[in-house]
Amino acid sequence: MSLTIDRCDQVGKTTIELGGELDTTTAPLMRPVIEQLAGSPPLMLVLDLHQLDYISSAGLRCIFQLKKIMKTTDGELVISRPSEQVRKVFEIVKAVPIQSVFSSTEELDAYLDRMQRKVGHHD
Amino acid sequence: MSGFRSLATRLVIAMLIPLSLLQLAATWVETRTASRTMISTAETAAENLGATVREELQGVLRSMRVGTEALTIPLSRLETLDLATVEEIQNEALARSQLVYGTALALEPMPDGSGRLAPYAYQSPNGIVHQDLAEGDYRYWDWPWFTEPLESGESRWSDPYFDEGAGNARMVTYSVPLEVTGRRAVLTADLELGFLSDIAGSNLLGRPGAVFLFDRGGNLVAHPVDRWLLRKRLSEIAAEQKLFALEGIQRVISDSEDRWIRPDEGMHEGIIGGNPDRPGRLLLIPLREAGWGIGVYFSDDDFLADIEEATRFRLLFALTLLILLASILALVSMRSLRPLRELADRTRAIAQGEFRGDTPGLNRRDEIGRLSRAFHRMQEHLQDYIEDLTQATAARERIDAELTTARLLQHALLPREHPDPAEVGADLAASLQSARAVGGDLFNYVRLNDDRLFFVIGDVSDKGVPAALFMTRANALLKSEAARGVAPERVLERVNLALCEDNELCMFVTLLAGMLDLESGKLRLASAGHEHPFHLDSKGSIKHRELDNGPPLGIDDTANYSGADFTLAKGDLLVCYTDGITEARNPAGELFGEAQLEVILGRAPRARASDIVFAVHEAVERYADGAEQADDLTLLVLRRSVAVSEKPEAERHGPTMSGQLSVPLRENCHVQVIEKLQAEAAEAGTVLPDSGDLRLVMEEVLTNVVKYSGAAERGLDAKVSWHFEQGRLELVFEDPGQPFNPLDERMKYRDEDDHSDGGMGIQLVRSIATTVHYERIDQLNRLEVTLSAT
Repeated sequence: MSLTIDRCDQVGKTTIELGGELDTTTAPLMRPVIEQLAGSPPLMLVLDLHQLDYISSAGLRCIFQLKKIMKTTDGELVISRPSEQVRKVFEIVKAVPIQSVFSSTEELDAYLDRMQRKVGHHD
Repeated sequence: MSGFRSLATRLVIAMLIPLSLLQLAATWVETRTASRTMISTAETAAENLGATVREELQGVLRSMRVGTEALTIPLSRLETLDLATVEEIQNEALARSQLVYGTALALEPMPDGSGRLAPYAYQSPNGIVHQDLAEGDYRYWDWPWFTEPLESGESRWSDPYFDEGAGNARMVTYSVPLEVTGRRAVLTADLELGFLSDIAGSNLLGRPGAVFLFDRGGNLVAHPVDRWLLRKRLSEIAAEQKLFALEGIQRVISDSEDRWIRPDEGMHEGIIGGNPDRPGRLLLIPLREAGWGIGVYFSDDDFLADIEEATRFRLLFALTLLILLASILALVSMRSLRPLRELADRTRAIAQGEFRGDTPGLNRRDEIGRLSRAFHRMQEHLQDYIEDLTQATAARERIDAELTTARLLQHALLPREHPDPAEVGADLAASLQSARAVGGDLFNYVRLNDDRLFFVIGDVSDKGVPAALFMTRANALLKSEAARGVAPERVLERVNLALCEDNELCMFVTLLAGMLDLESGKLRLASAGHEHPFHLDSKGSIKHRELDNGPPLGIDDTANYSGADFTLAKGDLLVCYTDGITEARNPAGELFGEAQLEVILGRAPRARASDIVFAVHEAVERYADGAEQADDLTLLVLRRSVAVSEKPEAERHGPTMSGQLSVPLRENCHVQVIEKLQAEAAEAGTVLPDSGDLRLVMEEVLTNVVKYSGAAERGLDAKVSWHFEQGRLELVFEDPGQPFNPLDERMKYRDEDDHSDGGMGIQLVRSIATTVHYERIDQLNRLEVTLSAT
């Protein structure tokens, strides 16, 4: 019963790698992270969940809070490499649009490249 | 209804204030008019009195003067100064005039002092007395009554004087100069002023009034205050009593005009020795004879006292009347309004659901009676309405309960939506969402002995209870026909024949039936007017499998159906659906459509049949965006398993086991239960369903109970029992909290903005579990959850 949180900030993108279990017991551990992000939301937030074995409704609420934070600044939240169990739970409550879930880092990188090009074109 | 704001009080105040003001105004006007009239009458009376007194005095004084002057004639004719003759004349004169107290003939003494003679005759109680004023020390020749007429040669009235010598009386003397036997002399006549006392004591209209007389010098000749007589002057009184209007009194008299001095000039009762605080009126009348003046005085108060008394009485009367009126008004209005208070009480009672009770004031003929009767009718109608409503609600609840039972029964007719692939021989997932309590869609599958799987999906025309009944019939027929193991088109034909019998209502059902050879993947499909299925292969391509479509079942008993053969490679998926999916509408009323379904299928993960079911349902729900759906939504997805486990049940899942645990309700109490269950399973060698699912169910259910049942606050325990048999884990959660049904619509999770905490957890449980069921039994919340092993 534990949760690991690794945060990695890059230019315009923050990656948070969650490992272990996100449930009623461990959800409070997310609070400082959420509060920090609420203070200065990044353009893009990647949740890398390949180490996350289990998530319950308490954990989903953390995800929803993050989603709401990102929405306030039109930032983007993407989910990377969810486990089968976590993916199933996400789908049941429609936690995130299917387009925002990426099964592999390659897929995610390709998506991010596309996004960057798009931004570049705009410039 | 009490105090200042009450209607009764307001009525009384609204009536009494104007009435009181009116009474006061009327009294004031009346008093003022009466006072003016009274004073005016009094003044007239005073003027009349003054005139009478003047006439009387004038008469007296004139007759005195005339009589005295007449007396000079015999005296001046005397040839010799014979004392006896003079006395005779005097006696005659005194006898003739009762007013004359005495008369004297005073002769001027000779320059040498001789010849002093002044015979004087006066009336006494014993008759006329004669006396010579020259005798004694009187020295008459020095007195003004003698010297003045003699010197001026004119007759004159003396000022009134107090005669101590002669009669101890107030006197006035008229002196006339004359010549007697060639000598200068003065004839006098004394007038006693005692008769003036009667004048001073006069009254006016029966009320005290005062008349006084004063002479040329302002000396009081007649006055109610005796001690002032001949001792006080008007000017002195004016100064003492601050009656400044009297200061010009002498000029007034010489003007020979009557004159009023009123309270506005400061006149008061001090003038007649009374109270200076009582204002009054003084009429001054000049008396031409003797140059005197008459004053007639009265105090206003003496005349207004009666009026003031009348005013007081009148006000008292008005006050009594007003109090009486107020009491009557208050009484009447309170009595009249009592039914209103009672109506208010009745209204409150009705609001609390108490319909029995009498309505007050029903028999009254006034407005309150009308209100009461209307109220009574309303009460009766309301009572009827509520009774109707109660009956209708009871009937509806009964129907609802029956429909719920019917729904459960109908679902019980259908096989599990996520069957064990080992049991079915393929990965099969289905779902049926009814638009109403009961629906007309159906799906079914039967594994036949020779490793063939028969499956069917269907949609009955019409909706609701008739459709459900027809569906039940069709389903039963299908099950029995499928068991024969004949080709799907034969099944359709036979069921068609059976349904065509006694089908007066012309209901029908579209069906897609299929038979899969589990070993070879050979698939034979037959359709009776149903939507064509999609075929998804493991490489990602999608094919819409067009079939020869026969007519729907139940209409044409001569219809023929044909089958079509396909092959389902390992990992391939067959997606069957009812038109509820493609005809799902968004809020704008647009259809979801086959094309969109194809896009969703192309994008969805294909690892498991249930993935497809989830993906499609999610897409349709998102598209519908809360719009109510007219038709049932049904999906049946078949995936040919890559490897079918051939292990018998007991080997794959381990032995049957049961157990239970009571845990104090608090956060994270589910951990204890999971540990205990897993420990027991490990000991028994049982393979439990997916541990993530199990844990999720435990956490969500128990967290919900802790949060919502109120049992945690009371330190109560929850009991969790489990029974595992043939790959199915049955979990029963019981808690003694307040009634709480997590499956209630109100708990339903909608989206992430939904703040009902428990909704999301229960949504997870419902999706993961094979069945979820809630009951309230013996003061316990009982939730039964079944999980299937994968």
